[in-house]
Amino acid sequence: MTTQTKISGLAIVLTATLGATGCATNQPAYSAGNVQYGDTKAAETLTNEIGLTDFQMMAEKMTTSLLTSPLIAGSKQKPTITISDIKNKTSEHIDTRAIALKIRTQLSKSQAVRFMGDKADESHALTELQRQGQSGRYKASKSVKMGNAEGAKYSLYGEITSIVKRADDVKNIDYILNLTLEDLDSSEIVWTEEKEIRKTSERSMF
Amino acid sequence: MNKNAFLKSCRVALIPILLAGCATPLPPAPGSAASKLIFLNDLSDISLGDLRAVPVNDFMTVEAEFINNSSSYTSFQYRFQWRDRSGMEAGNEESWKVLNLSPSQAQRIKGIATSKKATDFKIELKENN
Repeated sequence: MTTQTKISGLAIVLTATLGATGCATNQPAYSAGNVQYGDTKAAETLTNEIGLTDFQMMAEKMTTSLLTSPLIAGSKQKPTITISDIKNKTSEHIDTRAIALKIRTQLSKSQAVRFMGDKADESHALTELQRQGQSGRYKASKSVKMGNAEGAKYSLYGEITSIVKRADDVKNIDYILNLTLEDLDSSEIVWTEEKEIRKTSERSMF
Repeated sequence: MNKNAFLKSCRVALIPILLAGCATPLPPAPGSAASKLIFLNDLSDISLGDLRAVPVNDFMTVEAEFINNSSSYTSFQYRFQWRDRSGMEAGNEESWKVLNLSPSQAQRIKGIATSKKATDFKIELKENN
C-alpha cells in the first residue's frame, strides 16, 4: 500500500467519524426521572400541617355557603364585596391571603357577587391611575380618573385558629376558619360561616 | 368412559362457567340514583341511601346519603362533578373530600354547584389511601 493510499484511507475514516459525531444530536433532557406532576385536587396528607387540600376545602365550603345564603337570594343587584383581612391565630405560618383569594376567585366565577379592590389591590390601582394621569402620555378623555371608584357595600373578614393536642404518639390539630360578611353601612353581620378540619397523625415507631 | 367422551363432558361443563364469567352486571338505568355515581374502585361496603337535588338561589344543590354496610370503620373519598345542559363541565373542578363512617353509619354529604349553568351532576367515589 502506497503512502498516498494510506493517507486517503485515514482521511475517509476521520471524515466519517466527524460526520457521525456531528449528526448525533443529544436529546434535550426533559426529566431526571425523580420529578412527577401530581393531582392538586387529591387529598394530600403528607404532614398534618395545613396545605392546599385544606385551603380548597375551606374555600369550597365558604363559597357554597355564601352562594346559597339569603343575602344572594334577596339581592336584586349583585352584592359588592371587598376582602378585608383573615387573621392567622394559629402557631403555623399560613398565607391567609391565599385562602381569601381562593374564595374570591370561586365567588367571582359564580357571577353572583361583585368584588371591589381591597387594600392590597389599591396600591396597584393607584400606581396605574398616577401613570395614566401624570405621565402626560395619555389623552385626558381616554384615561381613567381619580374619584370614580365604587366602594363595596360588604366587607369579608375572619380568622383562622387551631387547637393542637398531643397524647403519646398521636398529634391532633383542629383548624377552624370563621368568616363574616358585614354590611359597612349598617354594620349588620349579614352572613357568617365556619369550616372545621381535623388532622390526626401518629408518630412512626421506626 | 373413553377419552372422547371425557373431553365432551368437560366441554359441556365449561360452557356455563365461561358464560357466568362473561355475564357483566348491567349498567344502571339512565337518570337513576345509581347512574349518578362513578366508582373508581370497588367500594362494596358502601351503598347509596337517599339522593336529592334541588336548586337553591339557582345553584344546583345535591344531598346524598351514604351507608356503611360493614361492621368495621371505613372511609372513602368523594367529589361532585357538575355538568351543564350540553354535558360540559360547569364550574370549578372540586377537590377530593374524605368521609369517615362508623360501622352501619349513614351519613349525608352536600354538594353545591358554584355555577348557575350546572343542571346535572355525578359523584365520584374512590378508596381513601
